[in-house]
Amino acid sequence: MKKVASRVGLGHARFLDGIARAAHRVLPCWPYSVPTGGTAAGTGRPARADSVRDQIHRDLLVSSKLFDTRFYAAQAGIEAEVERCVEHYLEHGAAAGHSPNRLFDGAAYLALHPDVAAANLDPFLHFVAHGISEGRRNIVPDSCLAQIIAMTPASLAERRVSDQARAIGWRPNSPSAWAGKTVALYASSLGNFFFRHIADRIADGLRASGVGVYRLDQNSARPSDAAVDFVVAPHEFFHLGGGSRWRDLQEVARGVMLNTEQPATHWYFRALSNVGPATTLVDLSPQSAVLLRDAGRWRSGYLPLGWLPPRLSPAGQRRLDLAPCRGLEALGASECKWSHRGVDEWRERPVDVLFLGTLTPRRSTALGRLASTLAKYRCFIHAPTNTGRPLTGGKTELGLDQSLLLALNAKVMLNIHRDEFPYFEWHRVMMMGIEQGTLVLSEPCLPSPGVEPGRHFLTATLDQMPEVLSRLLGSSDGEAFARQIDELNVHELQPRFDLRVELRALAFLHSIGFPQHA
Amino acid sequence: MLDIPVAPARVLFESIRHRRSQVTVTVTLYNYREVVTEALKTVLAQDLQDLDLVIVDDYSNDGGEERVLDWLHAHKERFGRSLLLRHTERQGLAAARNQGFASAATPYVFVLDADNQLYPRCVTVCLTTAQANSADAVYTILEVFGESEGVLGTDLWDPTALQTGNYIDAMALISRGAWKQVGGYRRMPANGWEDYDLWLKFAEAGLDALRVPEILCRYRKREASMLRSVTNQPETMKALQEDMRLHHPAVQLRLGPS
Repeated sequence: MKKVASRVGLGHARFLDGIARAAHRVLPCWPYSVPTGGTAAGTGRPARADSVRDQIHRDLLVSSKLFDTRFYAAQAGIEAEVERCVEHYLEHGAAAGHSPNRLFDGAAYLALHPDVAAANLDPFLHFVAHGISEGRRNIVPDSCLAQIIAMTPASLAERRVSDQARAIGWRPNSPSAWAGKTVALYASSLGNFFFRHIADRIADGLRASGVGVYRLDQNSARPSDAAVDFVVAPHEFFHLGGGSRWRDLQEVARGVMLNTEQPATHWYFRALSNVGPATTLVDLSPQSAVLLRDAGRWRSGYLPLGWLPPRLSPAGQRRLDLAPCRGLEALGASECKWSHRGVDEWRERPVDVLFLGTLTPRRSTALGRLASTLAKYRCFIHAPTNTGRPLTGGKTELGLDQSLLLALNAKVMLNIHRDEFPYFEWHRVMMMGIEQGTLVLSEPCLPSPGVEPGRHFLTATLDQMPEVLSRLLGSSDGEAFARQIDELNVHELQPRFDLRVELRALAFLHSIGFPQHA
Repeated sequence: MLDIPVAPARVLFESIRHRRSQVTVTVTLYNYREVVTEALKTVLAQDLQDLDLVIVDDYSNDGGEERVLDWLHAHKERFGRSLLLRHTERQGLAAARNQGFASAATPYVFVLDADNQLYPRCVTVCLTTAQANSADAVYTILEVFGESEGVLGTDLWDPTALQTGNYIDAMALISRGAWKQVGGYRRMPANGWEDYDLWLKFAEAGLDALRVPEILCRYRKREASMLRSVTNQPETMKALQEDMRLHHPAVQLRLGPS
């Protein structure tokens, strides 16, 4: 991955750091050693126990929904039928080095978690049975990252929800299939804050097309009159607090889910394990949407969180929540007012640099390295740890409106990836940055069709950021440059990414059906 | 109001140029001769014009106080008031900090340990935030430097979260009135926990602390830090646990060797 990562500009990738935090526990689990051909020869255990164990392993992998049948069948040269493939994997495939999922690297998993290797456990079985819930790290294999990087703009773009809908005759100006109905929109009230922002934004986008919205969380009762259930961030929703009670609900499993997890994380697997076969699954990442399609999930697509006109102003469709909020005290009273701050006033924006994102070890290191530069400017760094405190939310959380207010007050929005995976953070780059006229300075990202680095936003490695910041904030060209980029963004991106259009296309696809893929 | 005992100390240096300052930076020193002037240089470079400086030497035996004395002679013009006190015997961190607060003549004190550092905008931003919001304390995000790198203290003030462990360093701007109201720093079974105890007393008294969303302080990480070498010993942990149970019944610590 290092080699591939350096190709996308991540010279600082230190993806093997995680080895240091390998678990030291010995797991109380049944050894998942590769079965020895159905008999218990040499194990000292009765053959019957082994066959029961094998059946448990097969059931576990089949029901996990994480065994990528098509991917496996292509490697093993067998028919793509899930039971057959799982059986083949357990009997021969693991030993032959076949991989059960393109996003999972068994050898890397064992290297990261020596206790699993020492116990002679099959890495994928362990990951599914324990690793995901224990939060164990998984590394995207080089082969998959190379595949992700090689995805062409056209293949990414065609996964876009509105493009899929257009391909089967939908027109962008046709009314929403959900118009006049009500969508039950869920996001967990616990855990990371950004997916609540996304859910609130989607609620605004639905309402703007005449769709009613119940904005709910894991503790809500399911409204009987909801036409569609729409879950944002299934991993959090189904796992935190009382969320588990929703897992087997048919109505929800037939609804729409928006994945916000990045493919390199164990949360991605967690989220997918909660998605039913009938679910419409959308993702903020075009790369992830291609991976989902390749894994046989054809009811899937990429949902860009686009513009909601008018660019934020008090004339918006709903009353904005600007109640005094913990954490915003650094904005003076005169700055805490909602005003349209277009790019003409870029120089007047009081906050020089804004960063909004949960603190991860990598972001901590990055912010530490940038500290001597950032200390020169007026910054707003909101990076809650969440560590050991999953029950965040409520009074210590910045809501969507407060965060947008911050963005409108900031000249530069900094984007630092949560880990080495160079994910394109749509919600931060577009919703919190570009759309608010805030100049985005990001680490190099995976491509996102229609949004070009160097044209619509800036990219720089961490080492380059101090110099870029000083040019932007310390010289008069900074303002001219910001103005130029913003004009392009308003001119090019606003019509290209309209959240109302994407959500109407989503309603159409969910109601009528997705185009079939070979 | 509680009486806060003040340890016996000798005045090694005092200079008064004006009485306009709103903030005193108090530096507590114990055997940090090699790094204390680096810390003082960052106080000198503060962009806040009116500033007082009080240094409390807790009976160092490495000659650090002499180095500070020389430094003060050279830089006393920068400060409204500058003062160097030396305890007549070793008193510990809590007593040294209390000495700093008691000796200050300003409404706010900025607490700085002799091995840490400040960025130039630090005290101004903290003071402005405290005054604008009538806050009892203000802390910034810390840059970790030395033997590791990163940031600390990004989380907002949250009395509930404080019950499970400390996440706010001692390096902060604190109102002297609030310090007095909660009875100052308390001598703990182990050095390094005085700040946690103080923040808990703030939370219990309903005082308010604010986080500045900027990285304006530098926290030096050392291999042989006090916390890791002494505080995390099992018998110390047990004593701390009993002490915390007695003084802060709401706290639910998950203590163990780190």
